[in-house]
Amino acid sequence: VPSPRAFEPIGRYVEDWQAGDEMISPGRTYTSADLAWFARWMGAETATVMDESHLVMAAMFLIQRLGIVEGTGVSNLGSKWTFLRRVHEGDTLWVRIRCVTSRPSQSLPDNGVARFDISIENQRDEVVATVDWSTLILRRDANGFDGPAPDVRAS
Amino acid sequence: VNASAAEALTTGIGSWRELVEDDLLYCVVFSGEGQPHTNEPYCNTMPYRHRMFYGDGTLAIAYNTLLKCIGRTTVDTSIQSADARYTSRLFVGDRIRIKYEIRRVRPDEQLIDVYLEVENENHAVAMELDLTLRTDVRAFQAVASA
Repeated sequence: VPSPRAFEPIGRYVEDWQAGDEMISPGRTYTSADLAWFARWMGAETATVMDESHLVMAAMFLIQRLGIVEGTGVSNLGSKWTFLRRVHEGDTLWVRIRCVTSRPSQSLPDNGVARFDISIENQRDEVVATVDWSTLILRRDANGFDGPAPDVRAS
Repeated sequence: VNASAAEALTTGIGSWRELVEDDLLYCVVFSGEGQPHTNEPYCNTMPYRHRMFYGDGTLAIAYNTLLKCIGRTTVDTSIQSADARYTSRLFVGDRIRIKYEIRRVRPDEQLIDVYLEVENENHAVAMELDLTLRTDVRAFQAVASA
């Protein structure tokens, strides 16, 4: 059995983020198949507009394409979403992500907290949603964990 | 606003629902996020110990459960804003349910403000969610009171 540590994180550690750092993801076209799959999961009728909770996951998909939290993301702390336009089947989306703050956690020595402003845009350069996202990220000198699971609310 | 309809909308509790491997798999497909949710040995070395469930997946399940509770099938409803706070972790095998409270109905703006919690079977709150829903308030209330 390979060591779980054989997976070396490729994402950014909390120390790697500076306020103002900005990235733009690749785009992705959301077809009727995407909407149908999501509806199937939710037991809902298939629609031609994207459910906003699907858009939440679609935004994460686009962020993941950047690889920035791959292996370094620890926990999603919270997100504030504003949905400005509906997304229709056939629309192409990408995200623009900008770091607002990045700091060591006050209570979790292996972790830090980063906050991002994110905008999700379509093929007409219209912003369809904005997000204020807070997430727990590994510190570069994290050494794994042997104690009980920490309370993320105290981070 | 019909007073009895508004009262009927005030609070509610959804049915218990178990988070299953299919839910995790759908989250992988929709979020593209595999690490750390799909790597058990790696998770064993991390604070959460096991493959934890997705916060965004919890939001999606909670919102769609809410819509079923309040009659989405006949009234087009979308989210104008959502503020999600993840307060404890969930794992495959956990049973969850939603508790919701409709805090404000704004017929002139066609908006409804909802507070929602997702709790596990130990009644620990895993997510708090403030939602503002955009909908045809009159039709929405008619469905809810029917």
